[in-house]
Amino acid sequence: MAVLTAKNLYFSFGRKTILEDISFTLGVGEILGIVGPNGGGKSSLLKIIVGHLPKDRGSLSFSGKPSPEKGELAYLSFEANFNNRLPLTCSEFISLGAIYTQSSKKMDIGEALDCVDLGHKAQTPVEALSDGEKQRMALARCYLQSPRIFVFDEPSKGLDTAGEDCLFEFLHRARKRGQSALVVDHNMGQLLKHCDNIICLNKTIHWHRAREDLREGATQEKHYHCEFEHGLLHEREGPGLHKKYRGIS
Amino acid sequence: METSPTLVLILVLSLSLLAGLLSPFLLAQRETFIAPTLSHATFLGLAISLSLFSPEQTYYLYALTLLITLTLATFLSHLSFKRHLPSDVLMGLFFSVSMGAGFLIFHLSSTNHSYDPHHYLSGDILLLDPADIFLILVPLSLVCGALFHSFSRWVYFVVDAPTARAAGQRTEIYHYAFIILLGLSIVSAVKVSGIIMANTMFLAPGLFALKIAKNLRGAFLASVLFSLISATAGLGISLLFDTPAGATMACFQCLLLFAGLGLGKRFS
Repeated sequence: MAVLTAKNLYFSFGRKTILEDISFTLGVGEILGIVGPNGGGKSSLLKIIVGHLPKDRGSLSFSGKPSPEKGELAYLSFEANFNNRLPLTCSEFISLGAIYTQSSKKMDIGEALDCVDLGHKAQTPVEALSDGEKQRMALARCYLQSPRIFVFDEPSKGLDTAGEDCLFEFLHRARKRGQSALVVDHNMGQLLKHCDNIICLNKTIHWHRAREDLREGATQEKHYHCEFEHGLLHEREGPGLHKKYRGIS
Repeated sequence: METSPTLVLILVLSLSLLAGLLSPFLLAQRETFIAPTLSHATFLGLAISLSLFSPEQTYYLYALTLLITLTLATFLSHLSFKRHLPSDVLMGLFFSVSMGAGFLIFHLSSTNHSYDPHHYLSGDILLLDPADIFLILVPLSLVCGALFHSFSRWVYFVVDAPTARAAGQRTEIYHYAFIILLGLSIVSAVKVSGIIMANTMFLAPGLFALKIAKNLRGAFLASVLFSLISATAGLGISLLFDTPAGATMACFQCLLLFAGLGLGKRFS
């Protein structure tokens, strides 16, 4: 059964169409990647799902219901410059995730911190953490919430390689527990490696197929132009591609 | 009628407890201008109320002032929440327009010529009467109830409202509720601390606490203690030297704030 179904979603900002006729489903334990160029509507789609933006038309269904239950969605955004004026320790910050927990099992804050390799920083003030550590701490808060669906908008932004590994390890563990995830990211390599399916989103153009399709040069050229796509093309076609693009014989 | 020192002390303690509880949230929300804006809106409410009632009609005066202040606060809150205008611009406009309109009404009203608006600007403990105890207990109970009932949710709202909202928290309710509680508290504080001095009472404890505390519990404890000690000591000084209570309390709180921050920096 799908935990999330989007049908014919439309969204516009003023007269500008941002999303047009978007439909997809997210299954139990599925990790669905979303890629697309800047301004392609990826973040808007996530914001519509979590209720930050109103959709113009279309429908969303959360396990058959029109709106999510409390704690059903855990949202993490790269924009999330959370307010650290209140002097919270890591433990205090993470414990906020337990307010809307969906789990009947009492989750341990230490377990959540260990999950993102921050177990030794439980009593450290949040403001003393680096940006990458703050991002991991926000992941731990999501873990403690134990939602049905994780909605992550560029979660790897600001993370080093170890942090990225930690993020995708986190998602794999979530999948094993039957939790699903929607992940917007520009790290195509990691998405191809870890996601079950990938949506390409560029305002009106979207498709949802097996991830192997993303390696199709023609599809990429038609729908999606940005740096990682070119990276993939280079990887597949070798140095000749550079010359072809620039008209060098 | 002579104002009893015990009455004044009870009111100052209640008000400082109220300010100590709200202040860290007020500062943490990065919207500190909301306190002066609301206190200035109170001036407009008072001017209208005093044009209809005498200062002795405490309940009527309080009710109408509160109604006007909360109406303005809710309107301001709605505009800032919907982001129709930048909140700093909006508050700047409210700030001056409500004061200006208040002075105009004071000037034009024929019934309140005998009352000097300065009593309400800088506070006057001679205006206090026993009914004020009840009027301060209402916001105090509401603030304590709201904070103790859902403290974690208030913290979540302040720290990361978008994520709290995605998890199912009705963040707009917290936004409006906070401004209404603050408006209620400021209206109750006006006779003691005055419209201008009320800002210090609601800002200084939070600033002190957020600078020195290492965790959340410590922040609220420091804020409440700072507020209780500084306001009571300020009141004591004003009685000793026969100076205006609100002004003396505000100056003493600021003095204590900078001394405390200086000492905190030295020993940290």
